[in-house]
Amino acid sequence: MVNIMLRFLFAAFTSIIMGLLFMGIGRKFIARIRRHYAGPFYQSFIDVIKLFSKKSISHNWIMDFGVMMGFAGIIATIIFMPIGPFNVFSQMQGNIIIIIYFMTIGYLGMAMGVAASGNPNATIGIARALTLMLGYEIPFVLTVILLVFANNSSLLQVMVVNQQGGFMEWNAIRYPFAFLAALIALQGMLGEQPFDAMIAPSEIASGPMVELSGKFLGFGFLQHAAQIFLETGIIVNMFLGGSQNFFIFFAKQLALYLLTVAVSGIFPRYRFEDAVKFFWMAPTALAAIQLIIFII
Amino acid sequence: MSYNSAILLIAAPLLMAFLSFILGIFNKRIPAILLVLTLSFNFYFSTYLLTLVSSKGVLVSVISGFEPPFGINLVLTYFSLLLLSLIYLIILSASVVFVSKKTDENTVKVATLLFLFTAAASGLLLTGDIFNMFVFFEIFAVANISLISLKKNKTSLKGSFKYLLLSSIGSAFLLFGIGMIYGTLGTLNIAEIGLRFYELSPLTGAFIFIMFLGAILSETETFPFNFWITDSYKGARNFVNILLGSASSVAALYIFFRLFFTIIGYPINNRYEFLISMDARLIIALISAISVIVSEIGALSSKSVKRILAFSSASQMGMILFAFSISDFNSFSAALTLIFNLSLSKAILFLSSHEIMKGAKEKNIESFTGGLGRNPVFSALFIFGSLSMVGFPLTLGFYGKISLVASAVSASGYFSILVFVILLASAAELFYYFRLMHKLFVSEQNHTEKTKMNWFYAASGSLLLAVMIILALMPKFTERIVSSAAGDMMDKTTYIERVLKAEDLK
Amino acid sequence: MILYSFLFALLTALLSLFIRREYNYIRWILYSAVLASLTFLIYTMNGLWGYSESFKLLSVGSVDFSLNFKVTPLSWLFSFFTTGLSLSISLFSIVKNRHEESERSIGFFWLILSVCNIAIFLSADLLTLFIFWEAMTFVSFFVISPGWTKSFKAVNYYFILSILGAFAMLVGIFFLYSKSATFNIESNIAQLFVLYELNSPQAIFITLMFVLGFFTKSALMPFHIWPAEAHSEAPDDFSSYLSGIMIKYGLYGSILFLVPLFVFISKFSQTQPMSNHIPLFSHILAWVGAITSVVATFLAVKSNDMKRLAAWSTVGNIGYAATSIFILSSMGVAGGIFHIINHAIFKTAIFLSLAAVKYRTHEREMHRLGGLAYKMPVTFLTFLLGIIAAAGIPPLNGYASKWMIYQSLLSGRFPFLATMIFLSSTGAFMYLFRALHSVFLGQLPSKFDDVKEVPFLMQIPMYILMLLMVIIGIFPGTVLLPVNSILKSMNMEEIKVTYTTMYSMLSSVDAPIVFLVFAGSFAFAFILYLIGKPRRHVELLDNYTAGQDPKEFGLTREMYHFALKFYEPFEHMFDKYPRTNTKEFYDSFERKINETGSFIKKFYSSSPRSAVYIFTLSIVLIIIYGWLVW
Repeated sequence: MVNIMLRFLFAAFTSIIMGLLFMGIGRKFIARIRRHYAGPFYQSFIDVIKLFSKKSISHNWIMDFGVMMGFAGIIATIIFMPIGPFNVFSQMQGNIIIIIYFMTIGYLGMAMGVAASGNPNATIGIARALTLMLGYEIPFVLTVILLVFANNSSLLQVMVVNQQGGFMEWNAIRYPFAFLAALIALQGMLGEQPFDAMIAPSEIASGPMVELSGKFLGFGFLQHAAQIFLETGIIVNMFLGGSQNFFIFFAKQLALYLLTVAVSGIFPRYRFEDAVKFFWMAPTALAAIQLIIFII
Repeated sequence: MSYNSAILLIAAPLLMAFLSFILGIFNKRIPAILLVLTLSFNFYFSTYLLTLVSSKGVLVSVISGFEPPFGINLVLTYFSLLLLSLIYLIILSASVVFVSKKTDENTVKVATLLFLFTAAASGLLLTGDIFNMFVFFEIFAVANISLISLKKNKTSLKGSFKYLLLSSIGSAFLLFGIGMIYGTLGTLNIAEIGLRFYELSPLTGAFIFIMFLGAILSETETFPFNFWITDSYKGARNFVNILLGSASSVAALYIFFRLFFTIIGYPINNRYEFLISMDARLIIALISAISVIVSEIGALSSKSVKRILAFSSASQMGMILFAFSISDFNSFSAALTLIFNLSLSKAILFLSSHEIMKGAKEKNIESFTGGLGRNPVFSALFIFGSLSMVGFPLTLGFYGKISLVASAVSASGYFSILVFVILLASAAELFYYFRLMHKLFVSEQNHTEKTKMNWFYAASGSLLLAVMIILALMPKFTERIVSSAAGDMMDKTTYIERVLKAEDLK
Repeated sequence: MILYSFLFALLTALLSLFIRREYNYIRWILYSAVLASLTFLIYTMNGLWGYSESFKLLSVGSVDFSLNFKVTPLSWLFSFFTTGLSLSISLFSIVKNRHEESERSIGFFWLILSVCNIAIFLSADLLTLFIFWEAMTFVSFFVISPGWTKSFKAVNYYFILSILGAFAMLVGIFFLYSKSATFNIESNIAQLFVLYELNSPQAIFITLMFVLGFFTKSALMPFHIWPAEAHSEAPDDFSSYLSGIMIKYGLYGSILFLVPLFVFISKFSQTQPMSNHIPLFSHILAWVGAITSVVATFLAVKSNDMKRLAAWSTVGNIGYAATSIFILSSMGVAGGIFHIINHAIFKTAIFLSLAAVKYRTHEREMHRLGGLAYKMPVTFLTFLLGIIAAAGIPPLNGYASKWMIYQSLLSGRFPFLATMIFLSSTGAFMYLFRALHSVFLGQLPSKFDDVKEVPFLMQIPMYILMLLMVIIGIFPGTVLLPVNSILKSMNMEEIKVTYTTMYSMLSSVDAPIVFLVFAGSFAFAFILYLIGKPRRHVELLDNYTAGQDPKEFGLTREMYHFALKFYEPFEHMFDKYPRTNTKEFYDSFERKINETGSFIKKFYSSSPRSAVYIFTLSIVLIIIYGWLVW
């Protein structure tokens, strides 16, 4: 029992710390691309600590509850994801369907929390985010189905094991179209440009975050950090062979994240209905082609 | 009383028709009371004969000593007596309704007409002679026409005129057919015609078949021979509606059976085939299916309640004819169940809808609004009647409809396709009946006045309802009468044997 | 025993008609008591598999009408859950119908409906099934539309479609009966299988008739339009019965009749076309289910009426269950049954909470509502748990069945079906959140300032349903173990499951662990929350308004509630594509029939002369026909 709790805490803290670190490095990276300056790579840690110590306002108990639930949902999902060689539970090592559904708790919690704040900007952002979700889930699910078929298991751990033995065995090489589709879906999942219509700061005042202050914004930060860790982690496990080594695992994640940041650095924002259309066209077609190739 | 006094069933109403004219001079109530009494007697006597027939088989009552096939004779079969009792029951309930009306100068005449109607119906169902049948057919039509025109407004006169035209064309056809038979076979006795029909050339047979079709399809309210129905039903008075919708239809179906099955058909392999060159079953089935569809669609867009009920009656008759056209034991059982359902529930529907709509200016479906609050007894009657009509499970209509489907499907061929079409069409029936029932539940206020409850109506309605419930809930009883009647219908040989060798049985 | 309990219930219904208006709560308490005793009776039948009762009615011609009841694991599970749920709804109705105008007829017919409900599940042969099916259809007409003009229009779609479906089923039943001379379900399945080998088109026709009967009732494509109409216009508490219980009959029929047939075919037939190791027919039906769920999802996203939205959601869920059932694996059938039960529970919860909202606010359009969570916390929680379950989010019951559906789809190799189900599942999250936000979150309109939580008696069923959702979510075995005995009775391979864990070929899920992980993460978040500096409460309108003072430019709470046209841009995505509107199709069909009817009617009241012409013409036609045949 204590063992499990410790493993739980390890997973939770790793994800938060690594996620915040990725965010910091990402900021530096984008600053290099755009040729401006950024804070130190530990800036995100400072931000979070600062936010948690500032005073904050809340409109009602549902807002408190929702924001907590949003963060808890992402953490709970991470518990099921293999982090390098590490798994919290011995069975259910990365049950991908559970993971996909657990991720929704995070979205629901956050959405509920900010909707309870009563600010229309926040709700518009949520509406956009949910619509976008309908877009990127389709290619993502198709790639998931492909890998489930290929490995005859829906466990991420099994997928990782099947990719051992050099990078030629990686699913990214075996199924390049699917990998491409998953990368585009990842861009949408992380809400990076060109798929960031839900936070559009100048248009709807940062969308969901508009009414968050102090520790609520801190929760939002943490959630985003954990989300980066989670989603890059899933793709690494699925396509880049996971790793038996923590540091290689994190490095792969970081590489993926920097790739998305780089893409976001050079793309303008899509209208979100166009984004949904795009998701249903290009990446879905890619994933479907890969799936059909595989079945044939 | 023995079965030889069966002539009483015809004679008593005829006698009373004259008597009531005389007695009506003294008191206008007397004919009405006589009417109820006569009908009760007739009903009782016909059920008595029914029990007699069920134990002894087909009986022949010879009149004035001439043996069949030469003389006039009455043939008592289970089937005819069953339908006759049913008809008496309907006329009885209609006359109870009639009695409740205020007397006026017409009362005596109407009572006479009702006596005439009863006598004609009895004659139609009992006679074993086709020319007699024609005569009674005429009397019957005359009584119907006069009864329809009682209201003396435009619709009523138009309706009765249409009825007059169509039924007289029909009887001309019938007469022509009879003449043809007499000319070729030299006999008018139904049994003998049935025995010797094969002697005719197939062409003559086909011709007679078409003549008979023309004669009867107008009476059975079959499209496209039934253009009288909407105006006649709409224009007629309430108790006439009951008579038209229930009693006349039953009588017409009986004639249909005698003309087509006892005369033209012959049973083989437990099924009637026809002695003519074309597929008579297909023709009847097609016509009846078309009739069902057309009348259902017509009812769907009608607003007047009486017109809806008229169309519904036509569609039910179509269904029964369809069951006849399958012409085996199962389908006859189904047809009998449907006949019971049609006559009883249609009478209830006419009766209760009249009471529900009383007080409303326009007699259309809107006047049903709030019926349940205004008039709970008759609304309940209406709901029961229409539930049975549309075949709510475990009512007579349900048994009838299901066994119709069963027999049609097992007959296979075009019947199974046609029955599917008929079922689809009868979804429309459900729709308009449920629309009416829905209106009863509506609690919005409307301008219909609350009227006083008419106990005669209630009594007559609940009498019919009681019969219906007894038939539905006493399986052994219903099963017995339906299967003996259907068996009787299948058994053409016995009919002929008994009629032609009547002297041996004495 | 079964029949007598039915008669008892019917008698109670009849007697209750005489209870006067002022004491109408007695009527509803009586109903609850009857339902409680029925629930208990069915509970005691657990394990009495094969217990049967038979009552002979009438035999007309060759058909012997009789009522046959039989307890099987399948019928037990369905009847127990549905009766239990109706009991909880009836508790809700006691207070809800206190001031209802037409509660007398609602209650009377509803109790009859509950009897038909149990009888449908317990019926042992096709004729009994049909009898109660028909009775249920007829009776439900009066509950959906107890004399309300608006709901009458809505109920017509339901009624006509159901009747046509029932008639189709009737024809199917009798086609089989003419071959097998029995109504027994097993022998008819065997007969139909034989027919598939001998005369395949006819067998397909018969199967299609049954499919029509079942699919119209369960509102699968292309009959999916009726729930949105009927569920939204029905009495509010009855909507939950309609949506939670009654829409399942079609699926029940499919499990009872079609699934064993298709399993039979896939095991033994050499002649039938197969795809993905299941009969092509079944595969097509699975696709129908998936397409239904996607279409229903998109239509739900568009609706602004909360009951209509929930009705579309029901159609979507029926689509999942149908897909899962028709892929015929044990996992699929088990997942389908499990999802049916789960859906019954959470959709009842959702509709009851909506009924509670309407009870207090008398509003159904979502943009007129808002912020009710602050006033009606129990209702809000019920709705929240309901949508969590409906969206398939752990740790409530919905995810367990959805997990099984995915497992079955993936292990049976149906990638595109799985994708479609996934699409509609995500869409479900979209529209359910919209309902949550528009009704319960956001700004509270000022006219609802003094709205209170519903009375305690109405809360009780909500507590029960919430508890059920959580318990089944944590211990899926409570339902899945009985489901296993169903599979056994259907001669299918049992699935591997314990009280807590579900296994599939691809992976396994330990439900309590899932729950504990969620609870642990929440505790973790809560600790972080406590670590942070305590927050301060401010009122709702004290909000970010781009630096303006709200009162200065006359901002009201209603204006600051973003609810109308929530997903408008999403809806506009499909503007360019031509749309087929099923409802419009049905409506135009109805118009055509009405036009024909008016034409016929006009003809009938035309002059006597034309009547005679037609008469003569028809006779001539018949003669010509005779001539041609000659």
